[in-house]
Amino acid sequence: MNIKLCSIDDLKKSNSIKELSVSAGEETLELLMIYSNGNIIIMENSCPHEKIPLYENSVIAEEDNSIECVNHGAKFNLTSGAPLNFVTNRKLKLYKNYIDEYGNIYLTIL
Amino acid sequence: MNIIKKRKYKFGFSNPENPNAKKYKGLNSEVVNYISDTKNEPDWMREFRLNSLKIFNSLPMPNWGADLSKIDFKDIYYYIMPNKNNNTGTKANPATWDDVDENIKNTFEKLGIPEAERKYLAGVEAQYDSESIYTSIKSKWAEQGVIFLPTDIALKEYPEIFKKYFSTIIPPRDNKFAALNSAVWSGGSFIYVPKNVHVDIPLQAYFRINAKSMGQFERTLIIADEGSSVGYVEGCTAPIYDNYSLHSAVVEILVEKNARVRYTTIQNWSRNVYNLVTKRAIAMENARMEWIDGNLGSYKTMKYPSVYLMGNGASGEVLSIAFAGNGQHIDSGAKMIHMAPCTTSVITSKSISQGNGRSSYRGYVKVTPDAVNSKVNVKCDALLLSKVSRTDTYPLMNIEENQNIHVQHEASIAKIDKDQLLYLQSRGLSEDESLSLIVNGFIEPIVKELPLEYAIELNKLINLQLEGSVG
Ligand code: FES
Repeated sequence: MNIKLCSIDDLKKSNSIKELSVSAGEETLELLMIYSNGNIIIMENSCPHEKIPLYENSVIAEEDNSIECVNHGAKFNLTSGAPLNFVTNRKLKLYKNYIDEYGNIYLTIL
Repeated sequence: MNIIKKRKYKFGFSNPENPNAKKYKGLNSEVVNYISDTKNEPDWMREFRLNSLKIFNSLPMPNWGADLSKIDFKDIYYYIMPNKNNNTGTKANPATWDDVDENIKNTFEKLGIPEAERKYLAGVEAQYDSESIYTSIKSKWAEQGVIFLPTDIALKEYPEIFKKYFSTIIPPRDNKFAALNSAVWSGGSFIYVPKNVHVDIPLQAYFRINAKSMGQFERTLIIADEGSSVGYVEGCTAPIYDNYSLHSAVVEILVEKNARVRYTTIQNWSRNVYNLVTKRAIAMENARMEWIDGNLGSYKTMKYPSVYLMGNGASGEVLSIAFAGNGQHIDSGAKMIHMAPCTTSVITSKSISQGNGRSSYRGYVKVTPDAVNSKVNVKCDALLLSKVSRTDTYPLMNIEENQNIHVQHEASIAKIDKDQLLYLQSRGLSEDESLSLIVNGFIEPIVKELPLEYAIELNKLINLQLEGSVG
């Protein structure tokens, strides 16, 4: 299932970061979408450590392709979601996305 | 009535400060850059320090635990270069004890360090104010690939392994004092034990604050590779001054699969030292981490050694003794975070409060849903030696929707029993001796875990604290 979210331009206009609430069937997904190193990355808007929202509580470092939660400093790789330090052993949940020829971003749910 | 005799602190002597030492009071980016320049550090470490300073400035002071409201960060020296003929971060360590600066050598000789090294240590490190002044490791262990170096030197000699692990266990955002340490750290020990190597006698570090209003911010990183084992013992003392000193260390430990680490502390700072320390270990599959933590000195202590049990079957143990005498507040305890199945944690805390001293046990145990079939055992006992002494317990357990967890928690508070004292006196013991017997019986389960030399030292220190304290 593909759910249309917004266009790449919209995302860039909002500082390359957007929080979203998306209904997918019965579920509502709380998501964070970013534009980093030329890629669109969609992740769960919740730190795997203590479940606080990452939006406005995180630092994205393009140089090492990571996102860091400012609450206790957990860091995750933006390609795999794997933790980069030992604050938690849980992975950050990443979602697949798809961009159409007009630059619209879709969330892909399998 | 409580009669408290003034206790003597036998390590209260000081050396004249080095008049040529470059000192900076107050905390700002200039100091941080100065430390980084002096140590000739790579850019990433300078950036890490400056970023940590920003984090330090943005975080609030803890509003729980000991009262820290009197700490004036502007009134502390954050870095002092020792005399020029001993080690700094830019030079190699002196090769032999004889090469160490005379004044500093005398200090450590009074503390018995060289003798201990000869007798029962695998290696020793001595830190004086900001810098490590001497490190050595017995050739037997060095030949097997064990690394034991001041942390500053390890940054230069082993840059890859250093960068891979440094600050991954305690990031600067963990708490205000971890951020402070990250900004101005200097000295501390770096230990790497290769796979399947067992260092069967302890490595030791000895930390000494000499200068007035000094902050000591050592940083220790221990990596025990798969199947290895190592024990590390640290001791600390300082002179008595009117001004307060600040000790804010960070200790990070990684215990890899099937490895074992035991970290023992006999903390005996003089009673003008704020001791605010973050210590954390990660235990991977079937690894075992043990903290043995004796807190006797300091003005205020806040310290909660923790184990993050991240691998199946990992186990962690904290054995903690706190002795809060007149005017002291020791807020200590432990943290155990179970994140993997079949993990086990044991916390045993014994605290003694004397005069108007205050000891608090503060513990946090968290069991995540992944940690099925885990076991938690917490036991905290307090002993009050006077009517005005105080003890508090703050045991916090956070068990997230979990299956099959076995939790055991016991707590007790005892007041010194007059009948027991009278009975012992009727058998010919003095009042002091009777008290000492009761107190030593109370802490015995922990003391028996210490190497003999440290058990004797701890008993001596406790008896010294107890002199004339019956009330
Ligand atoms: S909640 Fe994100 S690091 Fe703790």
